[in-house]
Amino acid sequence: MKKKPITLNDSVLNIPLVGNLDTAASTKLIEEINRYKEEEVEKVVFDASELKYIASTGIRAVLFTAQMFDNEPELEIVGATPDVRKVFDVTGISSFINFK
Amino acid sequence: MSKLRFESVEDRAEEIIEAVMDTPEVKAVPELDFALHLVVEEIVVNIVSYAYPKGVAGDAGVDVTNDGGNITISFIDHGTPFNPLENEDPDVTLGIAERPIGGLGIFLVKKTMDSVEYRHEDGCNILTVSKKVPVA
Repeated sequence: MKKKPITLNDSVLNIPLVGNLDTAASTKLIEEINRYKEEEVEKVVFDASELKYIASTGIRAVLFTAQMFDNEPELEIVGATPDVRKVFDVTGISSFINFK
Repeated sequence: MSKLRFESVEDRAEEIIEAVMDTPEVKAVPELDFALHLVVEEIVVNIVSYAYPKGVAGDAGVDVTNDGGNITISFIDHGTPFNPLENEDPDVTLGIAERPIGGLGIFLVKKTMDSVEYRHEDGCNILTVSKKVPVA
């Protein structure tokens, strides 16, 4: 699976979620996201259009991102499959996220 | 019924998850693939990470049955007695900033499966999860 980089454009942090976001992949992702913690971020967009699977650690990565910035940036998830969406729903954090 | 036995689980989470997902019983229900992957990963990662002290080569077993009505998976280890069902469920009504980062895994397992049972028997932790097979 080709990896796409995280990008920051005009205070929008774009985080591609690709393939299987299992425990190992989520740990790496959190490390990568953590590099942006000093930046000014108003919105975080997770691109889930190529995401096949997400474990609880993937949800944790999203929570971690939300909590990393003190200003509570807007959260958006683009292109999630119904299976992926269901995992967010069960954990009760869907209400804080814009699904597109 | 598939019986998988792993002499040592150290650093082998991915391999064990894959082996369970590759059993004919799991392969027979592709519509549950996502749900079962999630459940198997949460439980196997817990066993590999926490059942045995660091540096101790502990073993684990996974039994998988599919009787056409239900798919049932039992996870067996000889590690520290631990009943994950005694953990309190996370408060899913908390705001996103107040949410503790941990504790979601076993909660997702409980929400995903129809039944989750734990017993401690002959020095083993046995966690058995079961889900109804959707009627085609």
